[in-house]
Amino acid sequence: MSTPRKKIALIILGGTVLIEDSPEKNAVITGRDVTPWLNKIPEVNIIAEVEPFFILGEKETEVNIDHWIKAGKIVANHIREFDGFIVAHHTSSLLYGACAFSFMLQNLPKPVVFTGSQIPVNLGQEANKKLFKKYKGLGIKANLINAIQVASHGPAEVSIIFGNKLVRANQAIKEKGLNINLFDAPAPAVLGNIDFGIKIEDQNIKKARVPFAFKPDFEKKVSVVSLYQEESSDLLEWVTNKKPKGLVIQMQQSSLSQSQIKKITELQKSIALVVHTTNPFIKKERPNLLIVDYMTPEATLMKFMWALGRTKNMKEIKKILEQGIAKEIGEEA
Amino acid sequence: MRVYFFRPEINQEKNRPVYQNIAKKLEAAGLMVITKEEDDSIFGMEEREIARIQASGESVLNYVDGIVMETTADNPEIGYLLAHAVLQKKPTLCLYQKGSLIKKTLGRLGQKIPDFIKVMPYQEEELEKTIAEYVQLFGMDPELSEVPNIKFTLRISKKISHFLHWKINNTKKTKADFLRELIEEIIKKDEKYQKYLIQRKKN
Repeated sequence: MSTPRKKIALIILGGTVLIEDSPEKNAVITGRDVTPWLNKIPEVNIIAEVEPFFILGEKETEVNIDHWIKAGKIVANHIREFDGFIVAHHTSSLLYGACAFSFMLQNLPKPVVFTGSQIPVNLGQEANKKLFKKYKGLGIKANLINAIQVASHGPAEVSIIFGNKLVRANQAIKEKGLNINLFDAPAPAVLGNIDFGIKIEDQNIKKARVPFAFKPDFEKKVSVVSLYQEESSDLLEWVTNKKPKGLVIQMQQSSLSQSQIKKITELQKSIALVVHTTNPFIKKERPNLLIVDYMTPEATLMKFMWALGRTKNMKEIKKILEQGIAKEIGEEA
Repeated sequence: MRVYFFRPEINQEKNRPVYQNIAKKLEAAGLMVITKEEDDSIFGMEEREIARIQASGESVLNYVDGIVMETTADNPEIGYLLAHAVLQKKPTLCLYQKGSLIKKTLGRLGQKIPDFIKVMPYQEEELEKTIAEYVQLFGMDPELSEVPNIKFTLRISKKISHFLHWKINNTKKTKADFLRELIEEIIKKDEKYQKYLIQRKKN
């Protein structure tokens, strides 16, 4: 007996540039390009029935939180209708988008897979040829085929697939350069690998027993400051004068200067503030600061924005940040 | 030429001899067969090579020349492999017995089935011929196919028969196997013939 054909929704937020010999008309610029673009990838129809949802094309404005909420709404509104969801996304901000998805779409019953093309639109002929050779002409087509297979049979959570690796979105890190495996993650957050098929560990297939919920509440006015130890605390002053609703301080070194600590302690009385670091010892040294050392910078920012969207009470925000919402907390935490 | 042979439901006892037979015939046709075992280990490719490919981010499918699939039963891997086969234009052989949905699956391409994909029903007696046709997709000279599918009647003396009978006694070979191997040896050693083959290739 045949199994029913899978139905997959493909949400387009960029990342559509096909690597072809000719770079002309090889991407989705406007909504009208979606059908001709999909017609260039007939292979996908073999695996599943793919229905596109256009939100943003190449050359348009940079993706932002409003686009992610709009895309999340598509998933929430069609959760029963489709077997899985794919989000084609620019690689530059893909991690932020995927993290936002993991917090707003809670207890997902279906897979949501982010993928895309590493190629910017209208690349010069020479550069295009070079990349065509590097990716052996496969690029996003191969990524899409893999994403459709994951969306059809993969883990019910937000993941990212590039090259031959499937990783948990909110624990993923972006590799430098033009790696085919553009995203990696710590071993427990690597959900699957591709050889002749996609191998997904059984423990990652388990579905949530709690009902699905769509919670798109993000505080958009959050600033991020990268702080080096030598940096004067004037920078923090300058940023807070812009009156953000929240501030994420990303420590670029393993410690903060005394004047920085003094300034942060003072600022946190008037503004919701979180310090992100990779140093696991600083938290014990500075118990009066809200320090996050167990999440990626992208997950920290999106979770903070999401927490601030739900409450302004710092005690509750701290509780949300320390609580696992979507498997975003690394094992060592 | 390396081919990946996809075998669905390898854990089913009834499938094992069927798959073994197909693999044997693929090898006899001069193809190097790569398979994936029940525990996901890959047979026919060195671990070091697989690790290198994995680290590069590429798919191991990029490193095989073709794909052979047993497509009788519906399996989600079939569509996935076919999609990559079409994308990479890999010579692909979809073997099936009665009741396969493979043609319907390929119909979803919305175009004519590409020439590099062969969809063929198979029965034991037809298998060698089917594989020989598939091998041609790799650009191998059909006249030089190594598949022993040409029937040849040879009259021999009682003495030769006696010798052949004695020679294969207590071996797993048949008389035909022995003669084929003997001729293969002669072909290899015949320098004039080898030169002729090179010349023929150039032309």
